[in-house]
Amino acid sequence: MPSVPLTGIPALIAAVLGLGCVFVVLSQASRSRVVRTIVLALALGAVAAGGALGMREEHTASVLGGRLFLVGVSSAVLAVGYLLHQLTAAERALIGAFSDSGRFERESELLAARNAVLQTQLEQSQAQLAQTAISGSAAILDPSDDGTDVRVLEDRAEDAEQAARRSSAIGDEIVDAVVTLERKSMRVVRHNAALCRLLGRSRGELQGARLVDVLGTNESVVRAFDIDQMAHAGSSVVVAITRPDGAQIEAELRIGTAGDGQDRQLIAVLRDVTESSEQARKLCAVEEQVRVLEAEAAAHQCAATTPAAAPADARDAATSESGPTQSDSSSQRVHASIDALIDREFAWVSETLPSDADVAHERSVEAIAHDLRVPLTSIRSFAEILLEHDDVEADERVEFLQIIQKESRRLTRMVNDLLDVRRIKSGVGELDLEDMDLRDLVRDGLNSLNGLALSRGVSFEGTWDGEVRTVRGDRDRLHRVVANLLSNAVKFSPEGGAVEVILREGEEAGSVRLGVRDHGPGIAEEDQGVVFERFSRGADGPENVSGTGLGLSICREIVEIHGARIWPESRPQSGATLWVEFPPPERVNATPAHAVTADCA
Amino acid sequence: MSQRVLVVDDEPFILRSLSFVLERAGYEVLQARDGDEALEALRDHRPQVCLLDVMMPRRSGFEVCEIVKGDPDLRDTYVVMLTAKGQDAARERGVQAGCDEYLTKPFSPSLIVEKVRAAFGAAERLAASATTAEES
Repeated sequence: MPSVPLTGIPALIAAVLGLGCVFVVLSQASRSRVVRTIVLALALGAVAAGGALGMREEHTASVLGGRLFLVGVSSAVLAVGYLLHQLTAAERALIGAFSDSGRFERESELLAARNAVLQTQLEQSQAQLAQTAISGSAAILDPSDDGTDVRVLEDRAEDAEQAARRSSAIGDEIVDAVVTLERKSMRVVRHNAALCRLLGRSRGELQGARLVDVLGTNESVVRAFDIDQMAHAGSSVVVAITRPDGAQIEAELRIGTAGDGQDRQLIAVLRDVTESSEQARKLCAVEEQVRVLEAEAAAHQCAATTPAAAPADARDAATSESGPTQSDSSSQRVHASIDALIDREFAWVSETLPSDADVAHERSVEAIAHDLRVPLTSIRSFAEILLEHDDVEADERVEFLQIIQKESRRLTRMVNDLLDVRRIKSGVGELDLEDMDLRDLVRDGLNSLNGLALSRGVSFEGTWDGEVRTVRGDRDRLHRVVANLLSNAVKFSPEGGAVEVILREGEEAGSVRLGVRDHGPGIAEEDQGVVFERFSRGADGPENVSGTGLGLSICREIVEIHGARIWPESRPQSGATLWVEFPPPERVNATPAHAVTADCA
Repeated sequence: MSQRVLVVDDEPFILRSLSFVLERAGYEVLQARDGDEALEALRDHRPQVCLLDVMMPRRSGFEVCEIVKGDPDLRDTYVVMLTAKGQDAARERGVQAGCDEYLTKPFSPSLIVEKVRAAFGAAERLAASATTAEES
């Protein structure tokens, strides 16, 4: 049978090709099971048909079989290519971008894919628009899209176009610098382009370099960080970096870990905070105090005070905490100024809270006082240690100053968050209402997480259908709600855990429900009423979560002024879901219900 | 006999500062991050003095203090409660729990060293005679 070897070879090649395609489809189009199955069946069908014909003994039939086979496989390849082009980028991005093993590429992949999603949306909107124009009626419009007309669709198409442009701009200048390091040597294994830009160095210079060298920072500063502790807690430090051109920048450094044992790697995320927002730049009084302290410390050392005098002064100052001190020893002045600072904070706190102080508000004051005093205690303690001990080693000195800086920042965040709460409360009448698709808010919320999810190795899963979920509200404030819920879930997730985002119709027609589920420690039943209280954090929360405990409190304020409601659902040890139910858009109007009370949901 | 102090706080920086000044003052310092760790350290290492934060995860400082003071083996431990809560109610609660001293945050580290020094005096007196009341 001479014909068999002739047709056998192309048959074999084609079979390999066909199977290759099947594997590509299996590995890439991970979400759409139906499509995957169809493609799989097509490809296998082609292989089987071709194979069967190709193996037939008659010469002519074999040739025919080989040809048929090739045609079948080619069309399978085309189909697969088309499907990959249409689906995988978008799907992988939105839902699976954080969950596959290529941690490092996720950020850029996400951005590229988001772009694809927006493009698809744009195409959909345009198609819908065209259809509408042809039929000349609103009948084909999505019935769930209350009150949609041609103009709305036009607007949406424009929005999508704008958003697509915006997101490609983001893709060009990806947010954070990400670098993986070999754990032991702290040498750079991989990094993204943003790191080159941040440090002002080329790829060649960075590859294989030690972290300390590329940061151009003092070695003792880097050693002072407890890398493992940082990785475990997901906390961040700010490092001063000297670029090769001599420019000084400040970057926020977060550390995550990947792999185990010998292969363990660190993932560092660096963000330039030199030119940071106004909030960060107008460092509140606390940080200025720290600078005063450092100056005082220097002056103190120059003045060559006798070692015995300082502790005695400190003791005096400490025992007369309530009133201003008379002595002018530098140590005492520092204590007095810190005390004055505390007094100011408290005056501010009591001013912030509504005057009709009931029991709940008194509890809030107590809680706020407690939480403000924690960082203040650290700041004060380390300032005093630096003042009183002239022989503190250089390493420890740096460490203590870092702590003072870090705790000042934490205090600043708390104060800013509290101010936000007040702003939200007082600005009830100033909601800038518009209708929006909740799915867009979720996407924006995912964006705003940046390195946080990455540094903790947390992935996202989405559960929603193609329906547009229209809610009415103030875009900036609702964005805050979604972003807070997502970052809250990330913070309370175990390292490498998954966060699930659920979108569905609420109980009432036209209402929309958003759920964010983590697999963290959950919320104990007795705590479920207080998770939205200011500064409250679950007793079993991860150690040293870098939040202020105000995020959910802010969420509740915003949700309530929108006439929506928010509530937790949890069993201890099995994660928690925070639900928000938005009322039908037509029920939200410019003067929202004044049912803004201190009651718990 | 080495002079051993247990410092209990869920805030790592506060642990760090207290340990630093106490070690400098010549004490052997043990650390615990929550109530359970504290009880374990108390039973295993028998520190004479314990600086105890009130607001901690899982088991509050009050609870730890009550357990310590109710345990015949541990009740001679000199307990100093540390908390940001300055309210009278909290102070009363501390006294009820049987603490020997009560300090509010923010505190001065050198004041803490002084209190610990005084506490060792008191602890020795307590150990010498179980019936001796604390002298003011």
